[in-house]
This record gives sequence, structure tokens and C-alpha cells, in this order.
Amino acid sequence: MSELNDIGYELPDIKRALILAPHPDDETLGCGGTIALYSGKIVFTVIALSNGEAINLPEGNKADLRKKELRDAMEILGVRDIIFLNIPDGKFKEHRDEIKKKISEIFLLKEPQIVFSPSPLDLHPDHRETAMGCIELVEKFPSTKIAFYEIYNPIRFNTLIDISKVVETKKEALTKYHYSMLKKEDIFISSVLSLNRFRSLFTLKNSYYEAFWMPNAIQDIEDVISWFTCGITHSSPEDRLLGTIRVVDSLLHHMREVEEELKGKGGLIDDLTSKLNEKEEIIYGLQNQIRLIEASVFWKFARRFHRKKDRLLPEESLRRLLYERIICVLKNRLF
Amino acid sequence: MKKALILTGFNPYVHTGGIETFTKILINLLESCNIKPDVICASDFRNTCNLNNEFIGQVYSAGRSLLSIQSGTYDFVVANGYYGGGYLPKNLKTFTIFHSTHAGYADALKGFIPLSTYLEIRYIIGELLEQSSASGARILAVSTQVKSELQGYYGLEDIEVISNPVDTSFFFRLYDKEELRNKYGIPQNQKVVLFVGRWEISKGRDIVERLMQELNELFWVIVTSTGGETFPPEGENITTLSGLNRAKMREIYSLSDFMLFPSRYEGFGLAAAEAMACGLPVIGAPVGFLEGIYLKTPFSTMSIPIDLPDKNEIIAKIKDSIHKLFSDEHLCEEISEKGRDIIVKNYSVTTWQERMKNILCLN
Repeated sequence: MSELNDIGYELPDIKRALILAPHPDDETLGCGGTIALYSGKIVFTVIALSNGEAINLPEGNKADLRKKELRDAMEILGVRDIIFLNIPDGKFKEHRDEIKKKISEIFLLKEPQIVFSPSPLDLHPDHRETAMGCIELVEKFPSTKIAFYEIYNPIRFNTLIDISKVVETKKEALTKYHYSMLKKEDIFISSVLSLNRFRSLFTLKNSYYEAFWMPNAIQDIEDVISWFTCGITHSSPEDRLLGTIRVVDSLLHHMREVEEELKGKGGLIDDLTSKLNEKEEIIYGLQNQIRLIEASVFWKFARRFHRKKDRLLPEESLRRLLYERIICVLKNRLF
Repeated sequence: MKKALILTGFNPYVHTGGIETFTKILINLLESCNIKPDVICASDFRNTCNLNNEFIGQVYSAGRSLLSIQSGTYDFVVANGYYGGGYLPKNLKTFTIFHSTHAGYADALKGFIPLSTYLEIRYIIGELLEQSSASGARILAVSTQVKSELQGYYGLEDIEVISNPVDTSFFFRLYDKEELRNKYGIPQNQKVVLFVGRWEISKGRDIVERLMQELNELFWVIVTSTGGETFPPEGENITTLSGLNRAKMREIYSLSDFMLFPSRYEGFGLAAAEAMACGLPVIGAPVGFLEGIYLKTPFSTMSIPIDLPDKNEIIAKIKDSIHKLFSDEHLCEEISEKGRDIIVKNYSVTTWQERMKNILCLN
């Protein structure tokens, strides 16, 4: 497999990251090890899109229970920043615009350098919807990278993070999800760690890995799906053309907004430049005055006097005493 | 009866640009060959794909509408440049005729337009829509300049050059100049400069504005076509006209003393060709078909070095050309006569019709 030569083994050098968790537990299942490994270097914000209230268990306030479990798990992984969007569980498609709007606001606030999302080919429809929304958002925030993580099915990847050192931490965090994992956390944990273990097949090392796909450049949905499926999915040429036009059109639209903003600031820059010019003219005038003073007979005399002062008026002499008194009187009168 | 479909930007019977003129002549040709042409105009479509650039969305929607046309409905399609951009893949026999390339156009305007506009013209209209309009079609270019741009920018091959047609049986000089000037309220005792085109930087409006200020002994006739950036200045020595039909255009060409054509980019330059057919000397930039014209004597003295970085030098060269034209009556007459001869010989409708019939297999 020639593409194995292009696999990266670490996250880019970043400081801020968002993790999109369609339901509490997805973030830990998909990238809990990576969070634990990097939590000292990267400030992670976990966004729980839903509270997972559609879980098939009878008892209690499901949303509150699952939110608490997320908080407990994040404490173990070292994440302090958690945002709950309260999107109805299982109804992401109907709330697509709301999701995009809310996450877009968080993007503006947090300015993440990377955003982690489930893959658009995940078995769970909410996960797929999260991925679609995320791809569209990243088109509008081209400086933010995207990293797709795997939950219910293995994905094609280009990055493997070795989580062997923190695999126990990930396990501990997962144990907090007793309720979210339908009280069968032992099965969930062994399954997800098996997936992490399975990735050793590609490195032939005795390790655990979390797999991600981090595209180098902005991609539209067509490109993303095409990559995940090794180009097997085939969209029509007119759709691909439109997809490309959309990406460029959107980027240029943002560029035009920035140009307008800069144009608006042009007046301010002109104003400050003219004020600066005025100040420079004043400085120039003052410098000329100094030059005139320095060229005057009085100034030359004063400088020569100061150079020879100690010889003409020796220290502690009567002449010096008299001179200093006269100077003192003059200073008092003048100032 | 055979049927053909023409894909274009704007209604050719409402708008007055070069592509619209070409489209009308093409319609006439097809009808004369007993072919019924339908015309699809992008401007009639809605931006259903919600692009930020409304017109690009309309162009894409117009092209895409062809995909629902059943095979056999039309015998062939003629797409005007990027207006065929959304028509992909081609399910009908298609000819795409390039009147310009937007990559070339964008590069000619680089530095005069905002970067975002440059990129939009260069990449969305040029690289994406023009390339896809060419894909799967027989490619035609209106000048060797456009052909070399299609090759250089997009790597396209098998391009046939077919120059735009000029109706030389209609566009000839009318000799009642005095009467024509009276008709349009233009003084008899002043030299008349003619400018034809959209009032925008690509057509060299900045150059014309400078000259209007500096050469106020001349009378300026400005004929604007639709879609300019702004309006020409007003003044005692300026008359601005717009939306003129070809009969009026012929009168305007005939009452003028020379045409100023400082365009920074043209695929062909139809207005200059019509003016030359009417015996009007053209002081212009070597763009479109004029590139070849200005290589020859006596026309070379009328060439404007429009790409010089110093605008003062461009202005000085134009003034020098004007001086030569007005101080040498023989030169002026020679340019006038030879100019018409060239147009009749190379760009007449009859010549174009024969070539176009061969290309479209209408013989």
C-alpha cells in the first residue's frame, strides 16, 4: 500500500482545537486517546451537539445523566471547555441550519485551528450530518483544518496517533460512560480499543492508534466522499464543476468582504498618515530651531564657557561660589 | 426542418454588445440555411445554485438546463464562450465559439481591478466555465490572439480561427457628413473623435477621460453599450449616445473623423472593424484583430502602446498619432481606403458565412 508512505504520526503544531461530538461519548470513543495525549499542548473545546436523550434506556433524566458523564470523562482527559448545543438527538437533519449557525458562532469565538468531526460515512445518521455540516463550515473558514475520526466503522486515514501511553486514561474516561454505553461499557471499551489496536496492522508495532483523515486543503463534500471511498463514488461532472465553483465563489465572496473592510479602513489610515505628517513637520521645525540655536554666537560662547568652566572658576574658589550663587538666583527668577 | 440551439448570455435583440451582434448574424445564417434556431439566454435563468455571483449562477443554470433536452431535439448547439459553462457533459453535437478568453482579459486588467474580481474572472469564468464550455465541443476562436490564449491558458487544442463577420455591404461611409452632424447636433467646424464601447477601465475609459481634458479642441462622441462601470463625463464638447441600432452606428461612424480605441483587451474588436469598414481611421491598441492590422503600413503609426506602465507615454503617443492623422491628408486617406479594403477582403459576412457553413456542415 503505497499510501502508507504518506501517513503522518502527529497532530500539526496547533494551540486550539474543537471536537464535535454528536452525542456525549463519541469524542472519547473516537479521539479520547489523542485528547489525553495532547491536552497539555492544545486547548480542546468539546461541543456536544445533542445530549443523547434518545438513548434506549428507561430510567432517569437521560440528557442530564449523559451530560454529567461527559463532564466526568472530560475531567479525566483534561478538557475543561465543554459546550452543549442541545440539538434534539436523532433529528440533526431537521436542525441542519441551527447546527451550522451555532457552530459557526463558536468558530468565530474560539478561532480553532483544527476541528475534529466524525466521518461522513459513519453508520449513525447524526454523525454523518455532523460531518456534512462541518465540511460546509470549514469551506467558510478555510484557515481551519478538519480531522475526521472513526467511531462505528473504520475509515481511510492519513494520520495515526499512537495512544499506547495514554490508553489506560482513555479506558478510564470511557468507564465514566456507564449509562451512555447502555450499561455495557466493557463491550464498548474492548471494541473501541480493538479498533485502536487493529491500526497496528499498518505500522507493525505493538501499539494502539487513533486514526484520522486530515485533508491538506479545503475540500467540498464531493471531494471528501471521493477520498474516503478511494474515488469509487462517482458524481456527475456537472455536479463536480458546480462543487468547485461553489468553493471558489465562497472564498472570493469572503475575500471581497475583507477588501470592503480594508477599503473602509482606508479613510482611517489616510487620517492617521496626515496626522503623522503634521507631527513630522513640527519635529522638522523644532530641529531647525535647534540648529539655529546651536549656530548662534551665544550658544557657541556658552559651550566654550562650559568646557573651560573648571579652569576659569576652580572648584571651591570664591569665583565659583559667586558664579553658582548668580546662577541660582537667575534660575529661581526664570523658572 | 433542422433545429439548432444557441447558448448565449443576453437577448441579442435587446443588448448591443459584440456577442449579441454575432448571435444575430448567426441566427440569420441558420435561417437562410432553413435551420430553426432557438436561443437560450443565461440572463433569463434564475441563480438556482445560490452562488454569490448571481450571473455565474444564471450561466450555470442555463447550461444545465440543456441536460434535460432529449437527444434528437436539436441537430447541434452553438455556445458563445463561457455561456456554455454549465452545459456539461455535452449530450448534443456542440460548437463553442470563443470571442475572448477571460484568463487573458483578467491578466490585461490585473492591477486595475480588485484582486477578488481578478480571481473571479480568471478562475471561475476562465479556468472553470470556459474550460468546461470547451470540453467535448468543437472549438472555434474569433482571432489568432484568442486561439493562442486558449492554448496557452487552458491547454486546449484543435482550435479553428473564424474571425467575426462585418456586414460590409451595410457598413460603408455615408458622404453627407454635414447633414449627419446637423442631425446629431455635432459642430461642423471641429474634429470629431469617436469612442464606442462599455464605459469601463478595460475599454480604456481612463485614457479617454484624460484626453478629453487635454484635447478640448476636439469634439467627443461617446457611444456606450450596456454594462459599463460608470457614466462618461459631460461637457460642451461631449455627446454621449447609447443603445444605437446599426443604422445609427453607420451614421456615427460616417460623421466622425477618427475612432479612438484604447481597449486593454479585445477578443476581436468588432466596433473597430465596423468603423474601418466605414472608412474611419482607428487609433487603437493592438488587441484582437487590430494586432495584425497594426503590423502593416500605414496603420502602424496609429497603434497605441496600451501596456506601457507610464500613462503619460500612452497619452503622448496618442497625441502624436492624432497629429500625424490631421497633418497628413494623404496618410489619412490611405488609412481610410486601405482599412475598408482589409475588412472587405478578410472579414466580410459573405466570407464568414461560407466558412461557418463548412464548419457547421450546412452545405
